[in-house]
Amino acid sequence: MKRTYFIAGSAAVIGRAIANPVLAQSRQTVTLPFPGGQRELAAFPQKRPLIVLTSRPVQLETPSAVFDDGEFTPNDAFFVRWHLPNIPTQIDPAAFRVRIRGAVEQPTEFALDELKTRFAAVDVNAVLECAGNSRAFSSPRVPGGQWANGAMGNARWRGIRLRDLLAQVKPQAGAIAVRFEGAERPALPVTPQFQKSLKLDVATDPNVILAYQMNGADLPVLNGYPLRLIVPGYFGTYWVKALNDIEVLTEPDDNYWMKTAYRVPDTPNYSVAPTDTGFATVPLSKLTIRSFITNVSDGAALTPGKTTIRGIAFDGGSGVRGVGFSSDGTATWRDATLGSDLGRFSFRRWTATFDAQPGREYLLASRATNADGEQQVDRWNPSGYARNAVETVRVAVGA
Amino acid sequence: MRRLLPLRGVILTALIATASLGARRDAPAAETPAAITLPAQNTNFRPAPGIEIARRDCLSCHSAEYVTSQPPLSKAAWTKEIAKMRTAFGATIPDADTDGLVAYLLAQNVTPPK
Repeated sequence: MKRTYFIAGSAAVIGRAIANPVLAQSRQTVTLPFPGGQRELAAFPQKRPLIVLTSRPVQLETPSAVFDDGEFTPNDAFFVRWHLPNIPTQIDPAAFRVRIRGAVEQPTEFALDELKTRFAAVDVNAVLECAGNSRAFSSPRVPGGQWANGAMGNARWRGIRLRDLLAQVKPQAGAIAVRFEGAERPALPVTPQFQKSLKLDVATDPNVILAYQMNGADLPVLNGYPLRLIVPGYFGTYWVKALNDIEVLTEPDDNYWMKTAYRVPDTPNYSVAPTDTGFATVPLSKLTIRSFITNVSDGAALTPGKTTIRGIAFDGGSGVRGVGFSSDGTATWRDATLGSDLGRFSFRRWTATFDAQPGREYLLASRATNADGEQQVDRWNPSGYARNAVETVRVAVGA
Repeated sequence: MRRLLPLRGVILTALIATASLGARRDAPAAETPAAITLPAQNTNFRPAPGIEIARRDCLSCHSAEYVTSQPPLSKAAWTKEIAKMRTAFGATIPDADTDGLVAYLLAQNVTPPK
């Protein structure tokens, strides 16, 4: 009933020092449901076999079946998206420092242990989703990373509040934003460093943390060990990995990754017609509301009788209020039953049942609503950002 | 069937890390350095005339899947991508290579653009 990805001969992951010769071994592939969807599956260090979008910079997609296993996405299955080809692969946590500088009274460098011992640890359950998740389903298609729906995951992040750290170094009057940079580096010196910034009021939100743990363990190196910015409710582009430089700004950030990249049309739903030009743009920020069916995949064969459909839903932090389920291709909807509330930034599970009649086909769909009344919408923009259309799954019932 | 032996190692590591958390708060345990080795980048562009230009001009910054995973793009769209590599990322693609690179990128499209 569920699509599974079985891989023989993957390299074992033992401890923290990992050699990984997997690409030299026999190649496993998967075909995602769009033209050009052929992908290799490979076990990168500290990861189970994942869908390889690109090998340099490293971008790995989580197979959809993983999302049926629970609200939290295991660290070894969590998607990976770096922007630049040279990423830290040898990290000595004892030597690691994160620097806070710029418009602050006391520029300071903190060691990892100082962060863990001098500041209160907090946990937040939050979905990390790439701005371009599901881009490959844009119609018409758009250039960019051709993700299916696996550039997302949910984790319990542990770290310290950014605002506690900022209070320590004392931002000066006139501070308006905070810029973040990690240890990834371009191949060419002229390529812009990957930097993202948040307005000061967002950066000082108590839910924004510098995380040193994910689901109870150190972050995988590919997910930003030893320290990563967590911005619950915001797209993953802001969640800077291998974070080691924080700069308080008194002017708006005009670096490439804010001024040019990761922008969406300044229109309702960030949506335009493919022929539109000349529209203003704004930086992408909050996640859009989404839901997915997780226990059946498109083309699945069901057995007749009462059938339980499971799924997940999430939004940008208002909280999922309800999920509708349809077994007739979105013509009619009924309320699904919501699972445990693990926090307003978390995946929330849902279930619904329907009577699968022998020999029939069904087009299943789910549609989430958040506490602000927002629902999933069809949208199109030239970068394929923030997709949150209602997804449908076609199933056939045996005789 | 997906839960195979390699995963057990990770879970065990996670459990050990969780179990030691209580002790770590006051007296941090010595952290051990992390070291990973990444697989080599994929250089498998699709065969088409001009493939040597793609190998020469693209692989210094990104692997071949950046090209091979794209949907079929028009000539204008591929030309725009090359311009973006130059202006946004500083790629040193010689002017003399432009026409040949566009022709290659079009020729290697999975299916022809509409």
